[in-house]
Amino acid sequence: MVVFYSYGSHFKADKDLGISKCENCNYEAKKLLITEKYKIKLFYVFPLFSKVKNRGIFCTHCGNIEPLSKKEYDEMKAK
Amino acid sequence: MEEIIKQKKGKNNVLFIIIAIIGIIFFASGFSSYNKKEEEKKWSDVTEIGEYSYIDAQYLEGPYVEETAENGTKKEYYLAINQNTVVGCILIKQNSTTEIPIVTSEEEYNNAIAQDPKRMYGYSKNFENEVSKIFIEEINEQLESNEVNFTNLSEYIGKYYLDTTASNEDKGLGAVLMIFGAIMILCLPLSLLKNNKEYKKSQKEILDLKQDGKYDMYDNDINSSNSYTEKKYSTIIGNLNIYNFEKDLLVIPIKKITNVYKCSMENGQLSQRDHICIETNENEIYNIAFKLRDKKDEKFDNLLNQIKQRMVK
Repeated sequence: MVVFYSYGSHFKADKDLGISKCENCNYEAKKLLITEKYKIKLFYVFPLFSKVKNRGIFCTHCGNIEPLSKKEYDEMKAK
Repeated sequence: MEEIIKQKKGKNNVLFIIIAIIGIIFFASGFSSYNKKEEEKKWSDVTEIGEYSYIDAQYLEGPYVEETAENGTKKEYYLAINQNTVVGCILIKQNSTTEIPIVTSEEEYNNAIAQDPKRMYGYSKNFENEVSKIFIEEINEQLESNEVNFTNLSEYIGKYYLDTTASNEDKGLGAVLMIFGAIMILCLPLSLLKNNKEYKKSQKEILDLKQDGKYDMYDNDINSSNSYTEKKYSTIIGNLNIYNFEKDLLVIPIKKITNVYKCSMENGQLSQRDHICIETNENEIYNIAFKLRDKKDEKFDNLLNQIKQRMVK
């Protein structure tokens, strides 16, 4: 029997933080509050395993993620 | 600088030599198992299933049973007859040519019995119950009796049948190994050809630089006391320019750089790779030093910091 599975990073944009200057690329760009998860899926659909890899502020210009702790992330999301 | 360009062009040779050596090992072991001579047995000496053996017979009679494999291949069971005696049962692919002739008419029968017996090779196998059942019915019908049954069928057609359709698995594996080995060996001359082409290209690159009068200037800059070299990313930072040898020679004047940063985006999408993005006052963007995004790399960070430090603020 052939079991199809997939794995990799998945991004979830949790909140739009508006436009602000990125410390990494120095551009005024849109920022998103994101969680990056590592997922293993069965038949490309059914999640088998999921682990939060990163939480932070994502710059849509350079792709830089400014990491946040769980507490900081929750506070920012609740604002 | 000449040395750096030449070294870079020939760096894959060692890898391809290793691949070619592995390829030779694969090819040799595949060749030996492909050409391994199997011990063949006379059909009368066969005592168990899976033995490579042969049947000598004047003609084949049948087909008695037809079966269709999972892949749709049709196979037929024949009785091998020699001197009017059944010597065994043979399984062949439908419509295949056989060394022992199949007899379907009286003329073919007369021709066959006038000739010497022919030989066919295969592997001994056990009869499936369904096949045995059909043979019992057929033979009983021919004998017009009920004397043949599961217990005494082997006395009429033998305990096993000779499967001429079964392949030697070692031979198949040997062939696969040989093909893999040959592909791996082929990589070496292809790589040498590619490197030779790139070497010629680099020679031309150097010649062009010399003709433009830029060669000495670049060479002095690269060899200056405070130049920074990052071999992994084929990049040298001189006093005047950044030199990148990853593909063709890329020269970025340091005084023109307006912005430098680590970028994880490619074509507007988040990529699995990071690279260093260098922007100049002429609105040019250079992307160099690619690495996997999840991989921490001190050399990458050092190169980025060195460029940032030397950038004219």
